[in-house]
Amino acid sequence: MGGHGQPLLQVSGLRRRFGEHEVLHGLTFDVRAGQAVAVVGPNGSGKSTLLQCVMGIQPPDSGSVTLRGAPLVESDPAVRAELAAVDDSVDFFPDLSVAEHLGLLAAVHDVPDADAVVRALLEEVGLTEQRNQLPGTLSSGQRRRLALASAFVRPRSLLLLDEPEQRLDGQGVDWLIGRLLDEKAAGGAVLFASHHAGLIDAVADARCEPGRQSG
Amino acid sequence: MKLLAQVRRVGRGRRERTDWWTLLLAIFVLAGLPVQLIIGLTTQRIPASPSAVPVALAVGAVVLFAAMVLAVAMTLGPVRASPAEYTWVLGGPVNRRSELAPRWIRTLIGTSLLGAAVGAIAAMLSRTELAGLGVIVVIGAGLGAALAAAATGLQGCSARVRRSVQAGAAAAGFGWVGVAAVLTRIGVTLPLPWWAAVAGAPLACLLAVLTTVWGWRTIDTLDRIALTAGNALFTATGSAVLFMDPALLGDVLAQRRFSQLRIRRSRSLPAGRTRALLAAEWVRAARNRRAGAVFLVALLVPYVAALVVPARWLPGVVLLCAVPAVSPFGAGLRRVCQSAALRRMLGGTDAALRLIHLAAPAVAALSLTLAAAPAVPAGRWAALALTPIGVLSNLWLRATARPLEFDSLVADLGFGPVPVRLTWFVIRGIAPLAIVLTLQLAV
Repeated sequence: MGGHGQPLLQVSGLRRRFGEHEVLHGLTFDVRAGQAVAVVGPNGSGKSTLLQCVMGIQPPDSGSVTLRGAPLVESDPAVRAELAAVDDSVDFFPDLSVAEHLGLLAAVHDVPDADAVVRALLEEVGLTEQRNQLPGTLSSGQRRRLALASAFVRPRSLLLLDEPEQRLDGQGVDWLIGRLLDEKAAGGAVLFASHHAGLIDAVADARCEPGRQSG
Repeated sequence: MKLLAQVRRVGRGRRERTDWWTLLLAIFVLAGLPVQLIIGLTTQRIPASPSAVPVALAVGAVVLFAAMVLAVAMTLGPVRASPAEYTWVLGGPVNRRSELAPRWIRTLIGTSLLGAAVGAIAAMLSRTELAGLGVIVVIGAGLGAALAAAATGLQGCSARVRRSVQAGAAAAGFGWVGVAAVLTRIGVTLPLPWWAAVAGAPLACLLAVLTTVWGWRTIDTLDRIALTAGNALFTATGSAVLFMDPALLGDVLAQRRFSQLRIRRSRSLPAGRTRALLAAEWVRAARNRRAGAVFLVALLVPYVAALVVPARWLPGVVLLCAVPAVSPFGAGLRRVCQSAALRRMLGGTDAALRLIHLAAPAVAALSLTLAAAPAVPAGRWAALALTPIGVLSNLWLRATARPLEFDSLVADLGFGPVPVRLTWFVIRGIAPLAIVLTLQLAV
């Protein structure tokens, strides 16, 4: 797949099987700095499985995933420092407010002037009024915005997003498109699974179809 | 719809008037019989009680225990209705009281018998004479019924009133036990008034009657929210017992707490990874006021136990009290251990994250041990020092346990199939406590 800069993430010959059903058939691609790759395909084609293998949540049956040339291990602190992910498993401390949660993430990742960054991000995702609420009291759309804000509040070089447009309204999707374009412009890499044609067309430099590609 | 409204109107119109004469007769009979029994027993032989302080200590402990029972009863209901039941009870043209009363009366009888049994056991343990045994059994039965009936009465009140009563009862019990324990510790002896032994039983009976009337009148006014508020917790308790997994109950309790938690101003956390995580732990602990109350009650127990339990056993008492006292401070550790997504988000190594979140429970365990030390003779301090090790091992093993599996390996040990994972899951938290308790007794 085309792109610019050095390959940040390299996926090579990735296979994943559930019983008799092979979901990933020797998938190979890479994602470079400043590039966005969209994982597309119908339901059940292996988009989320691919992202989970890349995140290190699911071990592949064969093949490799490397970040900056080194094998990607989920529990490796260096990997955690570079990789920010938003999927359905995203979790929050249930007794910290929205602002405190983002403030904690900013502080643990050594973001300078964390309070100002959090304030600006809350404004951007439209959660300023909910800043003192607990995550459990937010609507599903607001929780999605918080999950995305949790990924954007910290430094990262690779963003992994599993259907990030889920539960977002039209305005939210527009904001997400702008954010991902900024991410690319700042030299960040994005790998995202999506069904949203507008988001894919606006952001993706390349597409990857796990259900079709074979090695 | 018109017909249903008409039927409901007729149903309401049919509500029977309260038969005050029958009610008064019932009160007279119910309250009179035990009073006559007590008077008969006590005129034969009044139990000897040389000092008022131990009795006050026991009464304070009873008040504290009653406050706990009241809190549990109010949390569960005590009058509950499943969705199908409340739809019928509230939506149908039936008399609400006639639907709910049979189960409520059974609850009162049950709690009364339970109270009588607890009283009998306590009397036998303290080697009370026969007359005293009768008094205590009647007091226990009266308080048992009164607690369930009072909880029903409170079920019809606002949440604010319920919380105030709960806090007031806990504070009264806590203060009473504290004062009595201090008086005992400094060796004060006060003579017990002669009427105290005789007055307890009639007072308990009177309280039972008054609260029963209150509860009876309240049943008719309970709405859907009051009738169903305890359903989730009741179901979770059943599931936790059935599947031997306390986490099922803990999650529902935590959700209840979070639903009541209001944050007025978000705290700003300090820069730096460890400092920020520790500060967040502190913020979370400070918000859990119930954890502080449990901690204080648990701290009081060794001081009370020191009056009746041999010194050899006191470190063990501290250990067992420390488990519920420290457990709420381990919420962050449990969350971090159970959520890989949260660990990924926070960054750093799993081990470092777990160790940082062990700090709050470690401080709580050490504080409890140090604060309980004056209750334990100096000769047993070596055994007491093992307490934090036992509590933290228990917490760590429970927090890091993998989710419970019911369909895993089964071993046949000759006396039936034993689910290996399930057994290990159950004993892995208890094992360090048992080991440390054994060591404490051996030291």
